[in-house]
Amino acid sequence: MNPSFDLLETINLVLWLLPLPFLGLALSGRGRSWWPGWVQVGTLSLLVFLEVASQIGPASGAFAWISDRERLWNFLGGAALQVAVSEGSAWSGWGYGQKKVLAPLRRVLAFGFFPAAAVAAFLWTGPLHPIARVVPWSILLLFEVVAVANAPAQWLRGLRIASAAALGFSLYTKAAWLPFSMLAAVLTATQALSKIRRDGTRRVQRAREALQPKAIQELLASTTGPRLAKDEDSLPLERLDALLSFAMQSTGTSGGAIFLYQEEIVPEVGTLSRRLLCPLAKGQLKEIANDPASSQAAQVLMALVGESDQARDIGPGGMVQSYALHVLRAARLAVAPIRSRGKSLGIVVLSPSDGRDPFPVGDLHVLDFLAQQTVFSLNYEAVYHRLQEDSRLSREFEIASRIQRSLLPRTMPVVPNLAVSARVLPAREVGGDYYDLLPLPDDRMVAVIGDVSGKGLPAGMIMLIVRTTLHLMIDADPQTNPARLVQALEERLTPQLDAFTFMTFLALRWSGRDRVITWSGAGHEHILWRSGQEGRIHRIRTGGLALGLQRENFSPREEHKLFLSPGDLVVLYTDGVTDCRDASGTAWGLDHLEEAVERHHGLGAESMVESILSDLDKFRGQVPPTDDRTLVVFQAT
Amino acid sequence: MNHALDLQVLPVPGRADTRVLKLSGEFDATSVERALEEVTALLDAGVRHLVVDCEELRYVNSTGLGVILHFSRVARERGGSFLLCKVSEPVYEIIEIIGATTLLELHDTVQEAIQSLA
Repeated sequence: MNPSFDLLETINLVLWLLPLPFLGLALSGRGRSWWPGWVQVGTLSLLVFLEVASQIGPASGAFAWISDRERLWNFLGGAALQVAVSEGSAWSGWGYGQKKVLAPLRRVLAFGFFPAAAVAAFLWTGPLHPIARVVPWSILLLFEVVAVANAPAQWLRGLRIASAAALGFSLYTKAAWLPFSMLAAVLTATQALSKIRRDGTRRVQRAREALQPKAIQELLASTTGPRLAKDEDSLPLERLDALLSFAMQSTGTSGGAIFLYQEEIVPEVGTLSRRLLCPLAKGQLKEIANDPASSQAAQVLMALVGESDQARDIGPGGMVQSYALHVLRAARLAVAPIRSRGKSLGIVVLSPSDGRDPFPVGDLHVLDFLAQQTVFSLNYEAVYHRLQEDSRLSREFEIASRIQRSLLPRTMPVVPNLAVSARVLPAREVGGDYYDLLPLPDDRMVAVIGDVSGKGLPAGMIMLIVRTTLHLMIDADPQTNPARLVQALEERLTPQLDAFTFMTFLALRWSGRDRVITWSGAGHEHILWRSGQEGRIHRIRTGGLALGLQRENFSPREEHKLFLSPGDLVVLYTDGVTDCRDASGTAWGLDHLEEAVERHHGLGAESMVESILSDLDKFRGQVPPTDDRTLVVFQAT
Repeated sequence: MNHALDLQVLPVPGRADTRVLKLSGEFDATSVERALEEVTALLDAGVRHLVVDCEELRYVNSTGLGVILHFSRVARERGGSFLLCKVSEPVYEIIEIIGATTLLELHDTVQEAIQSLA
């Protein structure tokens, strides 16, 4: 062997070693379902490369070293590794969603055909024509690429048949082995076809039966005879109800449901079983596992969005998934999975009113949002309950405030003619501060700031409701104005508030084209406006009644405008900033805040926020803060 | 520095259904429970009108204000009243910011408040 051809040597080595770590993980049951696919893509790519390379100049130059014998070994080695990886992934249950290990005979048929055909071809007919080797492997390579890209199953099977046919044809050119090659091709094709029939047709049929629109309607409408689960207390039913109502209201749908898995230990079996719990729009939690019709429909719905074991049996890109879209369209349902950190929690479903077009894109966005908010609600509740049990309060506050912080904007939006910066410093206790920045089309942005009275988890939950409502309203109507936002929020939030709780709120809309801030206030702290031309700060009262003070007969809200010249500053804050105490018990106060704004006005929005808060920290010294401190700065540019 | 809230209940001569409630100190989350207990007990004992003397109330935060607004609502629902007197500048400022000046009855002196009950 010529030692100077390091590239090919290296490839050869990689070809052999590449699948080994993956194989180990596969056999140990730790791995990701897309790994074996990519390993095979890698292996097959190298095989095809070697085949092509060896044909460029078999007798001379760089590739002369590849004798037929070595080609055979490469061929067999690559094929054997393929088999090993496929087998390993099948055994461990994470290869292409195959859950069960195939019976030995079927395994040989499924994975042994190509290597066997290759050996037979070589031993009995001598080296094949180059095309005869490259084409089948190339098609198989295509198959793997398509498989890992999650294509529909019929494509995969089509490619398997094509590669079998190609190999069959190439062997056919060696006429002596015609019967063998044809038999092999027919076997593979039959196997693929019967799999389509068994897996696809049967499951599609089942889905079709269960998913009659009528069955779904009944499922969504049935609220009779609720059988409550043992720990229904741990589900934030009222909030899920509210979320569902918002989503239905925003999309104008007539039916909707949130289905949740309930995991529990079945004593006699000792394993986890999953029941479906369905809190319906009327606030009743219904266990539907014992109700065959509802259960079946819900199971299939879950299978359709890939959220059940049934779906995993079908495999990725399975026919049922593509059929799912069709069925959901026919049943006029929009379904989205509820997932949290890779774990399925359930699904959310919306069904449109009669005579209405099925879902426009905006509605699907709302649906996604509903699913996401459901996760937040569930997580929040889970944390709350777990911590109530062991009553480690400091940890409760820490986790809850972490959740709360995760709901605040992570990045500052980029809007024309305005630099934006904002920061919340949470107190040790969870506070009710909330701000949000939502960029809109047409160079606009909505900014809100608010403060829920009271603190701890209840205030945090109010903040969650406000955030959800606000996002849904803006998704539903990006053209809405601040006054309408405040009024709509008041209408939806007030019924959720207890007798002692209210929320100060301020909604602003920045229009980058005409440099105007339009705002509507609900009893929030002042807006500080520093005019660059005058070089002084104006305190602007936001006006309006805080949300929750008026329990009914909500009146339309006032709206005000402020034009910003380049260099003007607008500062928003919560009372946690001005009420912050030093060791002597003196509050920082609005005057100090204004002084700090004046002192740092030239720094730019981002540094201003940092500098003002650091001034506040210095003032506070060692005194622990009792409330969240939120600061938002806009600078017109 | 005493941050706690002090509550003092004083009778009003000639008015069995009225009490003066003198608040001093700071009214925030730490004193909410106690205020709730005492005022609810008064209302349940048949007191209809509460005249709240806020002269020595230095500070109210939003939690305290939520409770004051609640008392005012409950008293009104029961056909009585909850009157605030001698509210200091910083406390008035907070009431004004949240827009609650129209929801609360504010008086300059305790005497004036009692007279307004007629």
